[in-house]
This record gives sequence, structure tokens and C-alpha cells, in this order.
Amino acid sequence: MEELITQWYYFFSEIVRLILSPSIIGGMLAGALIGYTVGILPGLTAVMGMSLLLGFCFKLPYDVGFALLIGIYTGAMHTGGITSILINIPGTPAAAATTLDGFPLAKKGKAREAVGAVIMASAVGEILSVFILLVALPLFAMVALKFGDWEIFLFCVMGILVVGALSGRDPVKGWIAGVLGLFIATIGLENIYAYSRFTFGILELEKGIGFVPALIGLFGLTEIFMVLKERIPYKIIGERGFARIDLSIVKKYFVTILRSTLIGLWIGFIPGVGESVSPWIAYDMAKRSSKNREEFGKGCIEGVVAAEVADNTTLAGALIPTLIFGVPGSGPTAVILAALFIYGIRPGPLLLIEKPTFLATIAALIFLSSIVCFIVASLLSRYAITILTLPREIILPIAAALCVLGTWGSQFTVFDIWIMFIFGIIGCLMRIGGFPIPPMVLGILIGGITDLHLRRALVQHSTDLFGLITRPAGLAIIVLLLLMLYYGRKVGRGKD
Amino acid sequence: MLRLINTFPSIFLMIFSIFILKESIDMPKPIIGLVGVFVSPGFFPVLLSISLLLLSVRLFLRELKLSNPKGLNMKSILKSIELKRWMILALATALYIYLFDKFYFSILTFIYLIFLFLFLKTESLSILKIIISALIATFVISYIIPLVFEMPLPFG
Repeated sequence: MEELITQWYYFFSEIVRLILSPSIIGGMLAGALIGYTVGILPGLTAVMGMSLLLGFCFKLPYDVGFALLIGIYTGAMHTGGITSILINIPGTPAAAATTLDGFPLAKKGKAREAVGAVIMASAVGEILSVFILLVALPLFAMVALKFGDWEIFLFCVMGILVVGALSGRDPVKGWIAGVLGLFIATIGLENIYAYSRFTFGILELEKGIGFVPALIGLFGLTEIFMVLKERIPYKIIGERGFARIDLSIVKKYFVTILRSTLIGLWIGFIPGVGESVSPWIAYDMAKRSSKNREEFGKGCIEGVVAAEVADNTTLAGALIPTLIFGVPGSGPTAVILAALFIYGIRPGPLLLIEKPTFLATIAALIFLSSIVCFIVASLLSRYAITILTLPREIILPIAAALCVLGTWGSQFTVFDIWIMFIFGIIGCLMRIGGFPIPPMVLGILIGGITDLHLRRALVQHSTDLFGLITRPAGLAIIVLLLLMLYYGRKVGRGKD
Repeated sequence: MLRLINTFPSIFLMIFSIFILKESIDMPKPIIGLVGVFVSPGFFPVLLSISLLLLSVRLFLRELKLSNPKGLNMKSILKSIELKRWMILALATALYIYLFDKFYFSILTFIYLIFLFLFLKTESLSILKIIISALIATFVISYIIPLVFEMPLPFG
């Protein structure tokens, strides 16, 4: 209880500090504008935008860097639904469920109301999820403090298994991608004897494969190559004008908003499922329990609200395993985890002890970012169609040059740029072959700690291996893993 | 034939995992006994290579058993315009990276962008629009960003 009260105190004091810092507000605003553009352009995703900017975060203080990254994410989530409404193409994969009612609303001539509902629902969902995160995360941290090396290793394995099983259509391919990611993380000097593994005499590989080049290559360059190799023209049919923000929808659809918030948080907590699934579940639940269920699919504001709230609350849920166990729950949180490593912040149950204000800083950044994005999205809603007409043939080559410059900025070596390029090619081959990319990214991020904790646990219990396996916390994780896999597959099938 | 092509990734992964297994087993074991196995640098890669081998065998058998194979169609892939576009994009980017520390960055970026804009050009884009876009983007990438983020460039 004392920890909860302390976190709330930190939260409000952090809000005041962040508001008074021009660099943080500037970073957040820049992030919101980038996120708005990324979210509104079909084919570009929040993860791509975040990973592109990751290389530049080195030069920024940690709170400004996180303000930028969270700004991009919230900006993209706020606006991804706008294209779903105006052109029936989701701006981000997370906004796919918004097309179900958003586009019919636009066809009825209610595009401005629908866009207003997207902006309003996104902000409300994010703010609610921040409050729940502030209560839930310290509780999870207290439980996680009982974890030893064996339990942390099991949690890492759980992450790879669940992400591998749920992020694609084929679990075997997902697990292969995860194992390959873990292998990539073993390249370089290992962390007990400093023995050089799989470097084959290449001096630059001694330090291992960097997170930044790998992430920019897999998420950024891959996306650029895959979008540019195709030519898909689209027509703009939306009407011009500012979005009509209606505050009364919060009161009118309060139960739907609350239900979608909880769904978004829970789905976010399951590693690998993420924001592309939660809106569908929330939409389905809203449809089942609504008095106007026959209106769903024909242009119902409640359907738009349900999908958008869940879409925007998933980040908070995904942050719990990311910050407490070091296992990201979704693509954007994988980038946030990489940023944590960049700034030398160690995720884990001790995070709230070693850096007591960190959770409050992140929660305050999401809270403020949702307000900034609400304002930005409202003001720019009139120009959504103008932005939509920006040719991808111009934007994406510029993004490719930024990938190169961003990677250079991380370590100032051309070798890293080549690593980024190779990962870009690997990412394309994986996508063509049907291998999902998130498990590989997760493997690269957690490979080092998985190896270290496994070997430490085995050495500590080398005389009593049975005792190690039967530790109660470890057994509880195994049961949780089985439950997550079972329910996750059910959720995945529901999405299909 | 199609069935065999679909098994290529799994065959490659099997060979790769065997290679990793051999390399990992050859790694030193600093202490004798069970503890020596656990602390060996090769212990974790051995587990990974065995897992990868089992998974790729599973994938291989499944692809081979598929009665109605779908997916990779090498003939259509090799002939497709998409592959050509992808190859040119990748080659242009590789050349850009190769020249990154050998040539003036601003001029190199301008040439790279102009080349890609012209290569990807749609009818709605005029040459003037392309040149102006490339100039603005080059200015931002080569001067503004390195200045704001205090980022030294290798050459110019």
C-alpha cells in the first residue's frame, strides 16, 4: 500500500516536472507529429517510426528520448483509425477493426463524427490505462521480487514460446525465429568467461550484434523494402473539415470504454499478441453486449469507440512484462526495451527500487502524450487527407536514408550500418517465407540474460537439479505459460 | 517440385543448426564435471542448436507431407517485377552504405534520393517536384539532423 501511495505521489510530481520542461514537451510534440504522419500513411507503422528514431535517442536525455518514442506511438495509435474511416485502409495494423464501423459512418456522411470519436476514445483509453498501470505494476514487481535466476530464465523462455506461438500463423516458424534471435544474441564475448563466440575472427563482432542496428534493420528497412517493391495506388474519398469531438461519448459509452480498457490491458500483458488483436476482441465483446447490436457493422460509433480504446490501452498492459521481467509484450514495447538498454536502465523486479521514479515518469509521459496527441490530432484532422496524399515513393527513400544515419548515430561505425542492412535483407526473406519478425527481435533482446540466468541457476543447484525444477515460483510460471498458450491460441483463432 | 522448393528454408536451417552444434561443442569447458558443462560458453548455444534442429526437422517433415503445397513458386518469383524492384532497392542501398565513409555524405545522399525517386516515380510526380524534395531531404538529413544530434559524419 505504501509503495502504491509513493508511486502516485511520484506520478503527480513527475507530471509537474515534465510540463515545466520545454525539451520534454518539444520531444513529445515532435514524436506526436511523426506518429501522426506514420499513423495516417498506410504501410507505415508505429514500430517502424519508433525504431527509426531509436538511433538518435543516444544523444538525448533519457526522459526526452522516451517522450519522443512514446509520442510517436501514441500519435500513430490516435490517428491510425482516421484512414480506416476515410479510405477504408487501416493506417496501422492496430486500426483494422475500426474499418468495420468507421468506413460505413464515412459513407453516411459522418466521417467527422467518426474521426472525433477515434480521437476522443484514444485519449480516454490511454488515460484510464495509465491509472490502472500505476496500481498493477508495483503489485507485479512485489511478486517478481521473489524470483531467482531459474524463474527469470523460465520467464524468458515463456516470452519466446508465447511470442513465437502467437505472433504468426505458424507456431513452428515463430519458435524458429525466436531461437534464431537467441542465437544472434550469443554472438560476441560471452558474459561469464569473456569467451569469443561465433565471431570467426571478425574483430567488430566481439562486442556482439547491437540492438539498434538489428531493430532498425528488421522493423525499419524491411518495411521500407517490402512496401516499395509493390505499387498499390489508393483513392482518397474523405471529406475535408475538422473532426467533431463529442465529449458526451465518454458518459454514453462508459461501460464499453471500461471493458475495452481491461481487454486492451490483458491482451497487452500476454507477450506477442499486442494491439493488432485487442481491438477485435473488444469490438466483438461490445457487439455482444450492446443494445444496438444490429447497428454494428453498419456505422455505429460504439463499435469505433470499443476498437479504438482497446487499441490504445494495449501499450500500458504490454509495459508490465517489459519493465518487470524484461520481456516485451508487443513490437512497440520491444523498441522501448531496447531504449532502456541504451540508457543503461535494467528492467526487472528491482527497477522500482533502483530507479523509484521511473514507472511514474513513463506513466506521466503516456498521460501527457495522450493529451498532446489529442490536441495534435484534433488540430490536424482537417489536414488528414492532405497528408494521405503524400507519395510513399518520396517518404520511404528518405526513411531509408534515415535508417542509415540513425544506425551510424548509435555507435559511429560503418560495420553497424552493414549489420542493419543485413538484418533488413533477413527481415524481407523472413516475411516472404512466412517467419514472423517479433520473436527474432525478442530473442536478440533477451538472449544475453537468458543465457546468463540459466547457467547461474544450474551452477547454484548443480548438486540438486530436481530441487531447482520443483521450485514453487518456477512451477507457477510453467502453469501460467501453459494457460497463456492455451488462451492465446484461442484469441489468435478468434482474430483469424 | 513445388513441394521440394518449400522445404529449402528447413533444409538450410538444419545444416545451419548442425554447424552451430559442432562449433558449440568445440568450445572450452573450464571446469571438469557437471559444473564445467554448465559454465561452458558453448552450453547455451548447444541447447539452441538442438532446439533449432528439432524445429527445422519438424518444419521439413510438415512441408514434405503437405498434399496441396502453397507458398513459394520460384518461377513466378524470379520473373516478377516485384523482385526486380526489390533487388534494385537493395543494391542502391548497399552502394549508398559502401560509399558512406568514402564520399561526401550530402552529395551521396542527394544522388541516392534522386535515383530512388526517379526509379520509383509515379506519373503524378514531376521532375521539379522530385528535385525539390531531394534537395530539402538532403539538407535535413546531412545538415540539420547531424547538427541537432551533434552527430559527426565520416566524410563531409
